[in-house]
Amino acid sequence: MFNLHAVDARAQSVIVRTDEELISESVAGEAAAFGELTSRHREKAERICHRFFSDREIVRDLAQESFLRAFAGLRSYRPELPFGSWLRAIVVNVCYDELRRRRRRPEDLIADLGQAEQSWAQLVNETTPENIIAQAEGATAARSLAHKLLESLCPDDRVVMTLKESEDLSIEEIAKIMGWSAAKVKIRAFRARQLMRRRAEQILPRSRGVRSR
Amino acid sequence: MNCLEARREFAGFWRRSLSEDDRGALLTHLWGCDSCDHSFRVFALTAPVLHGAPPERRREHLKAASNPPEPSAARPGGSVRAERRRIFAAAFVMGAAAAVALYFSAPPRVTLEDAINSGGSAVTNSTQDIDNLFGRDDLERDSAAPEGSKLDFGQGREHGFAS
Repeated sequence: MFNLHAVDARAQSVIVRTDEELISESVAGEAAAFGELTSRHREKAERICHRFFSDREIVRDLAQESFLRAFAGLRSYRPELPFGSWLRAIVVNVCYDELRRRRRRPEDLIADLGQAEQSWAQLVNETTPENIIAQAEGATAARSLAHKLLESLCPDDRVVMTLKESEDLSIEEIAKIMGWSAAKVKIRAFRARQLMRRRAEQILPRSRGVRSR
Repeated sequence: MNCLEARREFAGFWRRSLSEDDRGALLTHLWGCDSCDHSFRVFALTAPVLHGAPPERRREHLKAASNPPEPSAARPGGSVRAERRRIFAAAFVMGAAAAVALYFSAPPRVTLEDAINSGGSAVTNSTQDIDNLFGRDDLERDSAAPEGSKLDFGQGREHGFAS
């Protein structure tokens, strides 16, 4: 004979609760529900933080800070917006605050490049596009050089560039997350692209004359 | 593919999510457009953070990944030079093979030594050829031709064309 009670209990534990249900339980004071929300969205939060900071410890700290802010503001959450999008706005703002706190001086960029980063830049300048992608896999120098380049942007430009390129958000979505006007986001996006290009050209001189066709 | 379309495909190319056709079209465009090629390199500097590391390569690319590219082949110009060398080598080999084939397929020529050693047959053949060359048959036809059609070699002298 089946033990129907045991089957029922197991089935209940397998049922996946929605984010909204977990939020309701969290608001009601159930800490375990918020723990489940955290574990469900931690990877995504850390991925966003990782677009801004290379240090794993900082990334973990910022993700945790984001969840604390989310928990504190859980009562203000409105279910019209998916929890993931709401949380993303919090994570981006936490990262933005941190970027502003540790503003980097752009003139440090070239002097700060290590041997591995310079080699990577040389490879990007000289090899074929396909080989760049092949060599980028697992190349820590590629990531660290990218971080250094992006750190040379001011926090506003960097946030816009990251959200536009990485998260594929529209101007309006970025404006909503940051609480800025769409015009400001557009200007920042344009500036960010120009500055990034200028910084990149300091590293990648236009030496394409070597190409024989 | 124009420049705008090409630049839109950078992220997909980086993530290896483009179809083979789109990938080929983009690579062809990059090869022909210095501006887009440079833009891709600028893009590649920040892509490891903004677009993440490229996904694991497919099985057929694994071998290539394990062997780092040779410096000479890494540069686009280097690969063109290598390609030209290969084409030149292939053309040379083909030319040499054609020359050898032509030499062995040509009909055997009769040398003077062969003619002497082989007795009368070769000599007979060659004399027949010489007879035909001089057109003995034509001369015979001329002698048998009607009266009006025969050339009168004396007329030229009479008209003062010959000294």
